[in-house]
Amino acid sequence: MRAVQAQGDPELLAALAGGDLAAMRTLYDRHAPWLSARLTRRCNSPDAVADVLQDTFVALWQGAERWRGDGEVAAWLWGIAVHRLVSRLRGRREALVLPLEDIVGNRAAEPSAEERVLLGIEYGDVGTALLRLSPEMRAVVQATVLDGLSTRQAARLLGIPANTVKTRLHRAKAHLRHDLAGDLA
Amino acid sequence: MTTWHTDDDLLARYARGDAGPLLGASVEQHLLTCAGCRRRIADHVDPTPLDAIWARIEDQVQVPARGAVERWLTRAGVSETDALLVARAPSLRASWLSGLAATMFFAAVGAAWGGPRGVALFLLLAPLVPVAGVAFAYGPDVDPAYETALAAPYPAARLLLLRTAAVLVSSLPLTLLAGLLIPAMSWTAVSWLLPALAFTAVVLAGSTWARPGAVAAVLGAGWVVAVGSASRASDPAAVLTPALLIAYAVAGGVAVLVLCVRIRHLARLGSSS
Repeated sequence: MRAVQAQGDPELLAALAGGDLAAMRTLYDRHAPWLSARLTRRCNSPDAVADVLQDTFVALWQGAERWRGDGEVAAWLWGIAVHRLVSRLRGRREALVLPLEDIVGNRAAEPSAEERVLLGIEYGDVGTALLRLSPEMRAVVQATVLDGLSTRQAARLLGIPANTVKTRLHRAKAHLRHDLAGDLA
Repeated sequence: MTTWHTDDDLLARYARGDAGPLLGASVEQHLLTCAGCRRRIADHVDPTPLDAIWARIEDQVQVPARGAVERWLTRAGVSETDALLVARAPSLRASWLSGLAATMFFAAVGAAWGGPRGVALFLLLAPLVPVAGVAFAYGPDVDPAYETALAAPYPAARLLLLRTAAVLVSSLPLTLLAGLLIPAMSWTAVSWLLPALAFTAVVLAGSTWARPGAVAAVLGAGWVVAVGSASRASDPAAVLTPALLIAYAVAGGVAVLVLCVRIRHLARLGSSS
């Protein structure tokens, strides 16, 4: 058991592909907490989140050999989870997607300028510009840009038509462009 | 890679859904690449539902793969529970079915080329095939899922009848095909179906008193003696004369009636031992 816990995620995935349930348990302990927290921010139904988490790890058990062996296992897992979330919410309206919180609170944990670039999301101009977007537009930006969903998948996740996603994303980009140009001027 | 890490306060607010869109997105991007912060967020997530979800995952991945019979039954419209219970019958396992096919093939070959003795062999085996199938379909001696079935809130009669239907559907066509391969016995190759069905009904009716295996053994022994003596006297097909065929039909009908009347006694199967 100790040996299993010292192993990295890719090694655990390899063991899991060979049918090692203990390896999957370790992966679950490592990744289920943050996955469940992140899913809960996108869907306020605990039942749906539980289903998606279950589906994600069952899919992992059945398809661990599909891991290409590069990049972060965590990012791969999130990819599986968010697609499962999309199919879980398809055609159902009992699970509402949470609107994003509006106000950035604590600034104490603000990263340094260099790290802002590394993190990809900043408190600088893009950040404040993003905050000026309406919650609907921000939800579209989050689903497509941050979660990497296609227009159609984002539409399913948010429960709106695909064309609306396109329009909102287009408008959001125009707003951002305008705000950033205004700041430069 | 980066020296910026989430602190416990930020993780707690993120887990509560209280971190705001920008900090939230930052935390999410960071968690994808930082195992340390992923470990620390576990302190802010309720472990109880996670344990319950793990139990469900464990259940789901440890279910054995469904066999061919089960998948075929489900596709034919049988419910998954019924399909599982039916397919667990020993007489529906692939080894049994292939053994059955081989036996009937050799019996048919023997009947086609072996003259009266070959016909006797075929007549000896053919009607007993479904009987043996039913005998091996239910009961404490043969069914590994028997205790499970007894303890389950599932009517034993329904199980036995479902399995009988499955046995008939799977074994009769094979045997019929083998019989039709024999050119010498055009009528006999079909008329054995009547005693076969009658015997099956008698085994089911007898199962309300004793174990299916015991009933089938007595019936089988009687049939062997009948075919044997008919064969020694003159013609093995003498067990299938029109008068006897009517007798089989009557016996089968009576057995079905008995079964209908006594069907609730099926549930006590095995407890009489």
